[in-house]
Amino acid sequence: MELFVLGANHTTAPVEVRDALAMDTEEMSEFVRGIRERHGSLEEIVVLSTCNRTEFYGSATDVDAANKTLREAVAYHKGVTYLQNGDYTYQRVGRSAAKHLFRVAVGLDSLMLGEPQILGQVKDALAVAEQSGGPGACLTRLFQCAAHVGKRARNETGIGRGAMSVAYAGVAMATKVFGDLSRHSVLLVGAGETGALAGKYLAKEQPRDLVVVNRTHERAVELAGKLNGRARPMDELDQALLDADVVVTATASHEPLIDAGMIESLMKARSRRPMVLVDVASPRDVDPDVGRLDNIFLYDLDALEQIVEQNRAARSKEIPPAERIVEEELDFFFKWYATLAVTPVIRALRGSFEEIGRREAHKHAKHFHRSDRETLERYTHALINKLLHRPTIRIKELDKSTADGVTKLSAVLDLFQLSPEAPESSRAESDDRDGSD
Amino acid sequence: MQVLLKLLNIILPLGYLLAVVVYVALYTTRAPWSVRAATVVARWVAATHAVYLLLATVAFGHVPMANVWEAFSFVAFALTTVYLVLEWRLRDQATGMFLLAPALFFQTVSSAFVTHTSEVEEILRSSWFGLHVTAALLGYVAFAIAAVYGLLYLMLYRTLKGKYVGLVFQRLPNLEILGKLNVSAMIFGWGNLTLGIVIGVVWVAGLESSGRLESNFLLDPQFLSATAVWMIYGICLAGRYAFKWPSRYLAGISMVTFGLLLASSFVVNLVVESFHSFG
Repeated sequence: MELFVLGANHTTAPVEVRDALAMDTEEMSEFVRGIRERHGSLEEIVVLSTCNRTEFYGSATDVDAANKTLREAVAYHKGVTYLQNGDYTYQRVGRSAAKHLFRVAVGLDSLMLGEPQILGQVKDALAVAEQSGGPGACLTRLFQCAAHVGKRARNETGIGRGAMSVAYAGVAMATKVFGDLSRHSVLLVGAGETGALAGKYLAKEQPRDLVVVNRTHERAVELAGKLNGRARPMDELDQALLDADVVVTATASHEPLIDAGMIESLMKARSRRPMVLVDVASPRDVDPDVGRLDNIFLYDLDALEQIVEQNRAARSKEIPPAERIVEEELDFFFKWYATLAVTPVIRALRGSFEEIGRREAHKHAKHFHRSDRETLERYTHALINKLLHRPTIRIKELDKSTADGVTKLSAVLDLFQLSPEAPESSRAESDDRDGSD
Repeated sequence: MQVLLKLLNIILPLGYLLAVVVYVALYTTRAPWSVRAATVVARWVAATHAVYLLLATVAFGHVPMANVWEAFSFVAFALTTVYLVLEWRLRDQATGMFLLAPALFFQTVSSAFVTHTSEVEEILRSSWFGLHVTAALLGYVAFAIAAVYGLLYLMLYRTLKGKYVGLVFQRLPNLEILGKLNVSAMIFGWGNLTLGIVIGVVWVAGLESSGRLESNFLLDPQFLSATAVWMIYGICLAGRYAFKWPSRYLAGISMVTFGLLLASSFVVNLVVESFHSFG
């Protein structure tokens, strides 16, 4: 049985193709259920579908046949033939397929390096497929490992660190000054599209007070309602600035609305308490001289883009350590995979029973005469042989090339907490095999 | 025991050096080994230091704070212990190198110059002495911590003003927290120094009235320097609460004042005569 992935993502397919292949939760469920019922060549299946990729992870004895089946099923299910001609797709087999999933989970294969949503989407893909009977022991373990890899890479490297959008970078700077915004007031000047986006990020931080000011008051009221804040008229801007700790400006004004003199007089009134001004307007709403004042942290579009660029560069530097984690976890996964061979499982099972037998015989040896101890050991050994006779025969009958065989071997390992040594020959099975369209 | 103390006197600066190296690695690389090792190393150093102080107390019959070099060692121990408590409470290892670096400095200087002796003046065996010195030193340790958090505040302030999102931005807690830690440390330090000065004055007044000590402590350099430090920090705290001085001013003042405190300690203990010089 061989692992494989067939998919299309932002590097191989344009957005119209990705949109046509995308599946929501219900579609994924239906697709998995349908393919498991109708196509025996696929032992296991999990579908991962996000806005940038649709991928089919599977295991099969005959990978080529399984791929053909998948392409036909997608064509039937989605009514598009993009996968059939292979122009937009990639295919990976064995270790390469597993590596692909691990890199996806870490965000190394994402449009935005290290993006955080993909980890949740990997977990969700497994959960959806499990409900439809898609994965067996192998894919379940693979996806669980992928989730672990993603989490580990984010904890141990900076692959997910730093804001990658201008609006979020502004919020990140504000939280670096104030920490928790729930004890601070936020003022949003401008209720246009950019203001609404910035407001959405700010509202997520649940500030103590979120005030929206806009030249057209009705739009301010509307946006404030959506953001769970309150609106104030534009002529109260001075007072609103006095109360605010974080100010985001995003108006279409051609002249700066806020100048250094205005802020200087406000700072005296607010006892020089720090203030963060995020100016995402173009042309700027805040005079650049404001940034020279003490305890004022001003970030305009250029500054925010510079911050995003620094974050992007910092994340790029984390690619090698993240790749190292991917390789380490791949080794762990394939070590487990190799132990699923019949002989090591039987050897480990017998070894475990023999060890228990030896320990118990030793513990109770004092209750027996010296001459009887050899008999006790022989008896223990014979008992173990009898107990393990039938399970050993059943294990020998298991076929590792089927998902059922893998699931049962995996269950034996779990039940008896066995850690068998992978045989050299089995290790060779996990060699990298890469195929692409 | 003397041999063991001498050995610990050499081991401790090396231990602190190791701890600082691990915390520097943690701050700069966040390598998993450094995350795992840092706290363990710091705890071992603190435990070894506790053993050292205990052995010195037993061996010489008095709390090892009878001269400035012994006091420096206590300062290093207190810094490390306070840091470990903060690390445990805040679950944040990022500021470790900034607090353990001064601890390394104090212990290295102490190890280089310290001479323990059991022949100390009788008053150093008094419990008043223990209370007075412990309160005053805890005050100084808190001022050291305030200075460190003041430095970190200014570093992050500069970073945020300059729009850099490098290591300082990524690793340090937010500006507001650093400001609060700076002020809290000053309050704690000022309270303890107040206590230390009051205990000292009451104690000396008692000794003088009973004729057991003759001193003109009001003109004593150590007393004058401690009072000056007490006044500066007192003015800072009054400025904070009465006039709402911003955190940035306090951060700067706490650093400068601690620098003055260190300089005055050297001058008072090494250059001028003081009735605080014993045994």
